[in-house]
Amino acid sequence: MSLVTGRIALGAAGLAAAAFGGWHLVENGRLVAVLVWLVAAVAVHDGIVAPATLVVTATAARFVRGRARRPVLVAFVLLGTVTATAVPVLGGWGRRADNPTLLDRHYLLGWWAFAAVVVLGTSLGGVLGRVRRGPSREGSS
Amino acid sequence: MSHRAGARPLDRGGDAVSGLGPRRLVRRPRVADFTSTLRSERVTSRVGLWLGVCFGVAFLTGLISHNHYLAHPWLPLPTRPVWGYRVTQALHVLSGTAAIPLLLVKLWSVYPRLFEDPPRRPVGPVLRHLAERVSIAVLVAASLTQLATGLANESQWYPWRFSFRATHYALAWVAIGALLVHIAVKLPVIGRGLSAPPDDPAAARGNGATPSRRDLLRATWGAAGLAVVAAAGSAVPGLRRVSVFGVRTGSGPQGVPINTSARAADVVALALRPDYRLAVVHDGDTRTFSRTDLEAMVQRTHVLPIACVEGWSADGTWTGVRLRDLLDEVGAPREVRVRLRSLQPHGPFRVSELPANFVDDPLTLLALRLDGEPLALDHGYPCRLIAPNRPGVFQTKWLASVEVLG
Repeated sequence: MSLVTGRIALGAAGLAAAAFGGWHLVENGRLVAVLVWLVAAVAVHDGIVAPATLVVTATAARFVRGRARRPVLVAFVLLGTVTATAVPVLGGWGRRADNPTLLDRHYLLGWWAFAAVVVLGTSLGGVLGRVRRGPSREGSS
Repeated sequence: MSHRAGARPLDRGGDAVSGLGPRRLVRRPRVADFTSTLRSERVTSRVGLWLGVCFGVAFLTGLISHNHYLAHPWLPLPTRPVWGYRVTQALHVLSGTAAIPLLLVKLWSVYPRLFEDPPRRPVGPVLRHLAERVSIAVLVAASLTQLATGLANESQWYPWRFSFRATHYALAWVAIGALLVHIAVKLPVIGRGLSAPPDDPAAARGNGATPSRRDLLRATWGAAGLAVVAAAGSAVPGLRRVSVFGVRTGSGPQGVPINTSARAADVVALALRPDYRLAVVHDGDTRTFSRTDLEAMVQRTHVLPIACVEGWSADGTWTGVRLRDLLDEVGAPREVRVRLRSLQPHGPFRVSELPANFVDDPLTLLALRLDGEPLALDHGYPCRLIAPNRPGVFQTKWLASVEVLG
């Protein structure tokens, strides 16, 4: 099978799978509620999350100079993306009075601990990297 | 990915990380405005590769879970390994968790393409551009929705009006299908990106101060790993202390968490009635057993996990009557299915069916005790089902009847 045939087969399989899912969505009913979520998910990412990331990084780039930039970038990626995975537990919207076994941590405290580990780790990494590389060698290999 | 812009010096108008100078924020952005040297085909394809792996794992383990929930499964459900569902569902939830940082970085790496001007003619490229745009819109929408709704479901937060399970299943096919189309379209670019040498403009400048693409990739892998460790404690007991974002610590009545309390199931009064009897229906006859009757039968103790669709799980030491022993007592033959009914007056899972291989399995118990004590009310007192390799929601609590189906 040539590469082109393989790509066509892969694309066709993908279209079939997506059509199968689409058919299920229609069968399930409540299609409008699902479409609202699909459109809102893209709108929130492309219209809020991504531009906000650019604004934060542009601001950071303006104020953070020199050797601090690398650890700051790493810390930003770690904090930003891992915090995104913690939004529901930090919000605690699923918590219920009759079930104390669910969401039974102090998540805000956990977030501060996580943030402290990231900041300490990246700072230490930055310092160690500088020591190892010396003042004038290149920085990323 | 703007290589043209990538060659610009750092200090003139753009920035290595954001690529957005403040004076450019007024008008609609163009591709050339994004000057970060961290974006490259290599970064996008490497992050995309691992994102694809996560989606593949989540899709396959999701199919396994879906199969467990079907009234008529496509694949026969095995009773071994006893921890099967525990592992596949933890993999499902954790691969989805790892995918969140990967997807965010991947979308960042291709964000400028959102502002690409479409070709004006000829018709061929215009149509191709449009088709690609539509397929990517579907892929991004389905991916973001799957990850967001899955994440919310783990903490039992349902900010929507559709059925989670039916929608998550349907969108999984949409997402995986759109992903296959995306891979088919991008295969040459992916091949180029994965085989490209690490051409790092930051490294080439050689001052060691500028963030490099390698820094970004390492941060991304680190973020995916940390997100998994921070969540995994709900399923992996050894990680409980460090999983600061785990939905459960694993504590609960008799050392096992619960999903539905007796109060939420409106079953408190019914479960505590002194004249409680378990009805066993076979061949038109009904025999009833009080808790004392059940306690008088041979008691067995097994360690079996409660493993839930939200990804959390916990081992319990259950003691009670082997289901097969009870069925022998009423003369039910082997290789029959049974229907279990809860005392619950409502709820979609108050009735469950147990396939014949589970019915005859020596580990399948009608549990009366957990951790050496009578079952807590929230764990299904007076009597509950506990079987190996079975989603928690089908481990029917507050049993009212066991009906032999033949």
